Amino acid sequence: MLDYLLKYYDQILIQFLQHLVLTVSTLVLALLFALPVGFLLSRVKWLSVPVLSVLGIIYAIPSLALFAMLIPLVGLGVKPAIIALVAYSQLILVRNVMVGFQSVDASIIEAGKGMGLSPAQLFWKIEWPLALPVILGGVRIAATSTIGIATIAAWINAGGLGKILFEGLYQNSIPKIVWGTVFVSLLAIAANQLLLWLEKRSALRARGELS
Amino acid sequence: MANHSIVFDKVTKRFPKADKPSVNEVSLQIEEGSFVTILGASGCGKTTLLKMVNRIYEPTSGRIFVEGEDVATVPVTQLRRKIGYVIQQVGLFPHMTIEENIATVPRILGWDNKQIDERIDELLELVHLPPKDFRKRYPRQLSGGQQQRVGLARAMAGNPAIMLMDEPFGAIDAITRASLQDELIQIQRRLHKTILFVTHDIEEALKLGDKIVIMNNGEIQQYDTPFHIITQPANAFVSRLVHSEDVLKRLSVMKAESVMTEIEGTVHPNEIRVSKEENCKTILMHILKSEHDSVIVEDGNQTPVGRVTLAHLKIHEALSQSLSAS
Ligand SMILES: Nc1ncnc2c1ncn2[C@@H]1O[C@H](COP(=O)(O)OP(=O)(O)OP(=O)(O)O)[C@@H](O)[C@H]1O
Ligand SMILES: [Mg+2]
Repeated sequence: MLDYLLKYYDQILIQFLQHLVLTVSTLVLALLFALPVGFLLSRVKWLSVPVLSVLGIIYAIPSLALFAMLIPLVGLGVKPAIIALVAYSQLILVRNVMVGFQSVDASIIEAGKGMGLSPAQLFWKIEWPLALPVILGGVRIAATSTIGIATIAAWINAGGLGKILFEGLYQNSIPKIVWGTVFVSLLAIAANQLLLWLEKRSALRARGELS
Repeated sequence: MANHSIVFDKVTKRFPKADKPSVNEVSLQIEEGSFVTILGASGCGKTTLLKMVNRIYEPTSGRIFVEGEDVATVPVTQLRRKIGYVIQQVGLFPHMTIEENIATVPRILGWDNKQIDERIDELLELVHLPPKDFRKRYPRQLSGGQQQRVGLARAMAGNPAIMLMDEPFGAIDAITRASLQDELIQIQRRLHKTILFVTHDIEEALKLGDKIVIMNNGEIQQYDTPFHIITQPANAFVSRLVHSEDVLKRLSVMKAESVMTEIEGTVHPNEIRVSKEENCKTILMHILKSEHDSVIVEDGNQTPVGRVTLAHLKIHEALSQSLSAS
């Protein structure tokens, strides 16, 4: 077991970093889309049902099928992997961003407006810090699920820890399966803990409990 | 229009899909420096009327002028920065300390730090919250009454000449409410703000208002002083509204000034003294407790200017009753 790790640690490290890069770029791209869309849905209520329905349908497509569908369109590699992962994460992210902004007490917004805050001031000073805990909660769930689904992306040559897992399955190699699983789990747990810490901190701040 | 701070000119507000307007052809002139209360039952359009002044709502028709300017022509953020706004739910920013909450508008207006700092202390003292204790606290660490005090301080931070207040004390217990009312009266006397104050509490409307707007079904029923509202109700609606009030409440809206007569005879050294603004209910209480059946009214310099006797109170009470009955 340990021999395998000592022998191939450089490979595993590379795959681990690939996995991390895949996850982080997915989240960044996903947020670029989810933040404005979620904010829009919090303002235009009737849009939320159709948009969330579409995102729900995407979420329900099995990941292997989605990867396969993307191959003829964008080929193999990191590109289709990121497209698919971004699409999957939208349901959770958009929903949490929307709920985050909706959960800001209407009387706080009204007071801010009444004082003469401009829409931008209202957003950055009031709405954003108060919605942040819920948004970060979404990022946390999206991060762990992305880390999980990203293992399957190895199947379309996107690299990452999925590679060692698939190899393990094909070659019936216990060490590969075990180490693959261990490192994927480590990554997921680390991401979860880090984001949970940020989430709690922002929640304390939003409630005025951070000293 | 020069000394009219707020003018409503045939203002109507009909919400989309509503079958009747929430505010209907309201024309109203609010004098500069006056304290006007808006009284009426739930759903009669008080809040709607108020929120059109700072353009939280836009009128369907009609115009509103603030300090001579049509509000529709003033950039909305600029308009709001010169109008203080206080709501029942207070709406303090929970992630900011009290001082940061109060500093919000001065910051936007670009005051320098020293000026803002002094302003925060000044305002907290005005609302009876010791700055040393309260500046660094967060809203959740305050009681409801204290939060509303901060809400008031925050609304006054940019030194607006006009304050809009929508049932600000509605969610506060009776004792705290009474002291907040007294403080608000004092603040208004000192700073001469124009205050539009919505309430559905008759006693509060009578106690606070120099003038009262009585509304029903989106229309103004009467706009007058508390004394006239009680002695000369404009119609059956107003009459019913105020007639349910008892003798003591009627006395509580009459001021010493309005019923006193010249001092005849000697002023006894232990005759109780009251100010010109003292209400007749309190005067009656004084008389009932004292050995004399009169009190001396004095001006701001503690010079006796008149006397109120038990007989005066009786005459005026009888008068007001007969007037309101007719
Ligand atoms: N945003 C809105 N959309 C549609 N109708 C509204 C809206 N706001 C108020 N109304 C309606 O307008 C009427 C007047 O409402 P408003 O809030 O001004 O009453 P109010 O006198 O302030 O009552 P309360 O004492 O209960 O606060 C009500 O019939 C209400 O249902
Ligand atoms: Mg109201």
